Amino acid sequence: MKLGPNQIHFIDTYLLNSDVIYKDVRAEMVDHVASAIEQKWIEEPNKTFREVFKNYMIENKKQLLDDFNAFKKQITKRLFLELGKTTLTPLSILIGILVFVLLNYVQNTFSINMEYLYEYWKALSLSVVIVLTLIWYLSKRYIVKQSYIAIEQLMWVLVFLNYGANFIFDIVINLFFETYKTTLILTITAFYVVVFISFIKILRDHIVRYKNKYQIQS
Amino acid sequence: MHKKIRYICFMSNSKLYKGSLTTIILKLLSENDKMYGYEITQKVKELTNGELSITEGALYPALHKLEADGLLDVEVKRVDNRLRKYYKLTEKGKKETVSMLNELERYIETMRILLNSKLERLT
Repeated sequence: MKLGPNQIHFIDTYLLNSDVIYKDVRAEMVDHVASAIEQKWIEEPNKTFREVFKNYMIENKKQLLDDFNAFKKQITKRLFLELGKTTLTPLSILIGILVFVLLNYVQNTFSINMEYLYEYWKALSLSVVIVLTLIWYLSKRYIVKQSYIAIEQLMWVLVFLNYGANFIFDIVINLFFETYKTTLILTITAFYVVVFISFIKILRDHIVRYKNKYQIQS
Repeated sequence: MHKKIRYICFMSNSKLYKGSLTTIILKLLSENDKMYGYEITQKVKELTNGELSITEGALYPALHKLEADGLLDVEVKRVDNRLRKYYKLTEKGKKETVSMLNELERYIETMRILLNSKLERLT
């Protein structure tokens, strides 16, 4: 017995109200639940849609939501791996080295005071994160327009860049600043440039993927 | 049931089957042009007469992992008033399926030799 548009809409709204907010995950979940309910309804034709749906959810809702939460974590982990892999490609490393060499040249040519730059490295890293957050937000708002799990979970990468990376660099700088101040500041700057490019690449790849698969209208 | 195993429910020993989920998915997709999640769970149940039942908690993460690894391609279509995500093998996926099935056959053969020799000694 095939479900009608209202019944599909009912399942979709139910899952949305259960915090399955991502369109891609919800679409797959709606299809799975609807297929299972259609099967159950064939076996129990005397029951109403609501009764079959209720029985299915009593039996499966907890598992469905647990699986969804596990999937969110899995996607976040995969995005970090993706960022790591994109940042560590030969091309990215080459860009990092070039940025380092260029900055080193500028620093030597214009005799920039590294003590002065040290005061501002956090502001520099914060600016990168702010610009990335802005690009991410505008892409979501104006290109993607809907909530897709991989794009939403990229937020955790931004959180990491803002807190995690800063925390690590703070420790490294405090430990080695006196000896390697120029190298450290230039390396961190080059790192942020490479991460900036990698983040944009990952965001673009996921937008293109969703656009092709779910035909997002931009 | 152990937490990690509960995602795949089997009538018999779960541990023996758990590591084969990817191979099962790839094998099914190699025999069918494209399949969607629920269809895969039902096909496995049907082929094994209910002996093997894959839950969505095991199936979808495995499908998404295979997609991320480039072994599966995805096609989203509107079917029966809803979106349906079909999975199909990529060229890389087809090669990987052949390799995984060969590996599994070698494993089964080795196990058969081991078990037969053990049984011979016992009789």
